[in-house]
Amino acid sequence: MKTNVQRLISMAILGLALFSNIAPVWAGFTSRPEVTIYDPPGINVSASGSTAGARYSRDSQQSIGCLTYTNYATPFVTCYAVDKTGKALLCSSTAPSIFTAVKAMTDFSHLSIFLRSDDSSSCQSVGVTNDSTYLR
Amino acid sequence: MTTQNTELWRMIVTLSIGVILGLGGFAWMTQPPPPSAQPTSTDSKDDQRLVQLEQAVTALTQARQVKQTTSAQPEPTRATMPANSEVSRQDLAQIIREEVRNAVAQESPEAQRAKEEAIAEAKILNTPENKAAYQSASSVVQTAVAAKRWTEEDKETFRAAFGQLTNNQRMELMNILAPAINNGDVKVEVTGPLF
Repeated sequence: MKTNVQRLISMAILGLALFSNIAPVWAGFTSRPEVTIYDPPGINVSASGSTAGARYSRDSQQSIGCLTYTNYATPFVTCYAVDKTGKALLCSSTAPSIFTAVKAMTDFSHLSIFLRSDDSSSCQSVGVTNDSTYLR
Repeated sequence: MTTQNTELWRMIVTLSIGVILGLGGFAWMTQPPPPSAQPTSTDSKDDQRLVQLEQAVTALTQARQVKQTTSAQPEPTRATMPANSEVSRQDLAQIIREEVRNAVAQESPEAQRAKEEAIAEAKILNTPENKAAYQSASSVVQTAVAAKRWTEEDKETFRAAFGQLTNNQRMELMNILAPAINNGDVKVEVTGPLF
């Protein structure tokens, strides 16, 4: 009996020694901002959030991203964001600068979408930040 | 001796022929290519603009000369001539400015893109597919605004039609849908992309 226990313990130690290196060690700063829509008086309406933050949020509402249509010389871009309450922001643009920004999006991106103050259907700007902290 | 002379002459002749052939070949290989006989259409356009500019500049120079001559020979009409001359100079300067501005504008990448865009849109606009897609997308937007909700079904229908539209049609529909969603008049009931 005692021999069996000793064998069991030694096998467990051996197993631990062999497989402990396989387990990943996660370190480093992480941040997954969820979607927020800002509508302060006197300032352009905007939305921001990370794709990972929206994807792994606890609610089933959040979403943030952009669509691009490139079947003409001028690309057509639409960006949108939905926060946890279901409030949404949607805007479009044919500006090449916005298309260039949207093309830089990855699955570890943080987006900032700004509406034009004089036209609530047009994007004034779209900011894309790609950073390791936004990785899932 | 004669045989030796003959051999020497043969060698000299052979060497001379070799040198001539070598020089001829080198000259033939290194000669520059003949200039293009027919100018391209861009060259032709540029030439036309250049001719117009040259004509304007010549006219301007003549106007200046007329002014100088007039001021050198005082006449009773002297008081009115400088004013006319000044006007014509301004007109010519304006013509030159416009010509230059037009030439620059026509060559800009934005102008080229706009031209391509207009041509591509004209090909698609009012085709049966485009008409059907526009009707479908427009109907979805109007229904959503009236019902104050954007549903999964709206999303699917709108997405299917959106790709067939021209950019102007897309913007037209977005000008209705986006403000309604942004103001909260239309409640979003979809998950993921809005369309």
